[in-house]
Amino acid sequence: MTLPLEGIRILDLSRVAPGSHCTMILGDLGAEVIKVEAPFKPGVPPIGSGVSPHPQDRRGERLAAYHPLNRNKKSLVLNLRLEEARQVFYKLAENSDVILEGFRPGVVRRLGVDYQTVGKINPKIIYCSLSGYGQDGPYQFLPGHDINYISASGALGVIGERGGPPIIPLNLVADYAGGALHAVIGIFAALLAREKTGRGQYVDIAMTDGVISLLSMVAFDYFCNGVILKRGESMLGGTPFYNPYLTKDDKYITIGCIEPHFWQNLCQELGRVDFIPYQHAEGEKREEMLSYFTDIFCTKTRDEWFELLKEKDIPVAKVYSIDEVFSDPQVLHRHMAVEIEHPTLGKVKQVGIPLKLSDTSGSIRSLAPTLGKHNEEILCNLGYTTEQIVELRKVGAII
Amino acid sequence: MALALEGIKILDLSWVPVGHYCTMILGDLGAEVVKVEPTFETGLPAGLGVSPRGEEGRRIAAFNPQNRNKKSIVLNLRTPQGREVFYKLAEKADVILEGFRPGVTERLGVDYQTIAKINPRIIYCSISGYGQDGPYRDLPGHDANYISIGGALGLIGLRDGPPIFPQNLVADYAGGSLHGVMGILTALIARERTGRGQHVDIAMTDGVVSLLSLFAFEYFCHQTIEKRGEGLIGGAMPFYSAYQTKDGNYITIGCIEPHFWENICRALGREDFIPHQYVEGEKREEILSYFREVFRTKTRDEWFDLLKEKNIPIGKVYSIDEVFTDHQILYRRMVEEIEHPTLGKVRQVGIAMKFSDTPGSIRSLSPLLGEHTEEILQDLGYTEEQIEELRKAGATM
Repeated sequence: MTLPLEGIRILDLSRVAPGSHCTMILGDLGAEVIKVEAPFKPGVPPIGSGVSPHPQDRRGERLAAYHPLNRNKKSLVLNLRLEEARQVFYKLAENSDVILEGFRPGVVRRLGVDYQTVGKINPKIIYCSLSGYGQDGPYQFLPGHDINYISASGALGVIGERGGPPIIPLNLVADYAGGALHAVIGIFAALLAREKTGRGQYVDIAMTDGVISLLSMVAFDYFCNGVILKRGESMLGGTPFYNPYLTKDDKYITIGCIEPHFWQNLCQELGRVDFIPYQHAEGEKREEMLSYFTDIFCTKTRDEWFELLKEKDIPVAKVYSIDEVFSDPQVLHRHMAVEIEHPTLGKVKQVGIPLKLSDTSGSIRSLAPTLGKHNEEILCNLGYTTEQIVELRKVGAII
Repeated sequence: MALALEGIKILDLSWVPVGHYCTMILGDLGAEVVKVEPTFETGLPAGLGVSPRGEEGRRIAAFNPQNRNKKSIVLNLRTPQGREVFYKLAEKADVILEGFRPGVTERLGVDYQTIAKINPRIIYCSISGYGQDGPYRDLPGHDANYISIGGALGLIGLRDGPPIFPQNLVADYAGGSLHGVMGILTALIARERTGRGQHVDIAMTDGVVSLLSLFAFEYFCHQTIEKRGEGLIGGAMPFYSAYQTKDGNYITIGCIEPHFWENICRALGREDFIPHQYVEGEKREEILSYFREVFRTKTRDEWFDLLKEKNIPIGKVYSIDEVFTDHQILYRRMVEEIEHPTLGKVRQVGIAMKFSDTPGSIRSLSPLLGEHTEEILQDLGYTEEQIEELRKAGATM
């Protein structure tokens, strides 16, 4: 089986999770990803969950082996503040298809590795910038994290209980959905466009834009009907028929009976056919149903409820902790946990690949590198001699 | 200017927002999307299910972002004549998207096996909750259920509080729609080399598990099981949290990096907090309660204007109407106004991805149910009489 992105070479300048998750997906699908990393000394914990651990650090090798975001990648250390290192980067860029960077706007220009510069060296390059607010506009230079981008885009304001504070959905919505996944899509679209135009282009991904796009139906309700969604007041924020319920064993089970026939099935199964006409009732009736369901779900354990209700055509699921996720038969059947043999650590477990393609599936071909693991290999391939590599190390361009 | 996906023809069999959002992105980027819709009601509220009809439908269609840049043909796939039309469409299509429960497309005779015989270059993407195989394959479900199994829901909420739904952003849109787009584009790239289409099997649950990669890492590598409201980014840490302001609104700070933490402590006049960024117990409570108090002394917007000058990651927690008055969001054209012949200016959410050479565009508003049935059938070579026959047979409306 061939890999769908075989032969696509990506230079990854990013240091934090959104960029690393983006190139993890591309690497899993067969792209050759080279992480271009800043030098740092052993013993200094790196900032950024995408930075490779130092090989001299005690647990560096182990951290690398388990790091899912950097698998299928090579690590090259280049101190881009030095002209010698920049020259290496330009040579690499000549033979690459994609560059991804996740700095604050302006940084790549200062480093001399921005699109204007690299596009002259290689007009076919696809250059993707992934930032919080985008490459232009009044907030372009503001620092930020996921929590801030979901604030500005309206997502955080609608997550939480009625009357309660906003609840942070980890960093899933801005970092990964708004950022990483939109960057992958932008890069793919540019690769397909290049097949026709023969040209590369600049792809400007803002996590805030991505989140707003995800809220397209919330925006629809506002633009079309003047409805301003409030925390905990929509169907998807929790109602009797769409809710997590506490069970006897202090765990939770979720019910998602949006369609009337699922709601009927649930009411029938819980012995309250009289509730059937009141699926969308408000006020007292809603409270009555909520308290009935709340009470009844406390009478059995989560897993008992699941076994019972899953036979009755009712959308139901167990709320899992992360360890439980990876012992679930469906998750295991779908290969969402995979074990990879490591020469010294034995079997290493990693999260699997979500995109299942029948003809060109992805694969994990190598585990994450330690910092600078592929310096020599990559430089040799570019034609650098051993002496020249020693020179580069002396001036501090590599480690 | 060319569009990135110009010339790519997509047949969209999906009835729910997960599929609609997937093909919205592809349509925005230039693909030609035809919605193949049923002759009967699906029981979902207007805008969420099949295309609307009638006068009120026209308004809903105009504002519905998820079906813009699409055409609508009505085909009853339960009739042989309706299927026949679908096969003709499939011959010339590049991509088919479907979001039924596994097994339905086989029953309708429009599954991958059947279509691939007609058109081996077809890319056939199925988006489902649990995937096309495995023990849960036939279970019904919604976003709430997939984020339960995928491990996301268990982590979202306050310490000791119940799990809180992140709307349907995580499973439906991130785990499903966006993974669907990525799967389809991957298969299109692969087809340039192999010449073959393939089946792309997207499970929203798989997508959610993948989004939790770093939480899985913590578990696999360190046996750390993160608990709701207790992680670095769950809201329990003073440096990464939402604080209520004087006007009842909220402001968020995201000072993960030590230099940002220093900046916030300085700005709030408590340099003594600087060494205690990750402190636990009483000290953490002291910092939290100080921050809570101090943020209540000014309005959200006053805090934003004050702190944004000091290199501190902050954000205003907006309601949806405020989002579309923000200068940055307007600057990035995340709201577009489109002229409608009778409704005047219609506002829609803009296009998230910005391309320098092949930008996406909104070329048409969402269709009414079956708005393009005749046009599409005529393009396939059907005569007026044949179309009338199809109507009589119940294959279309």
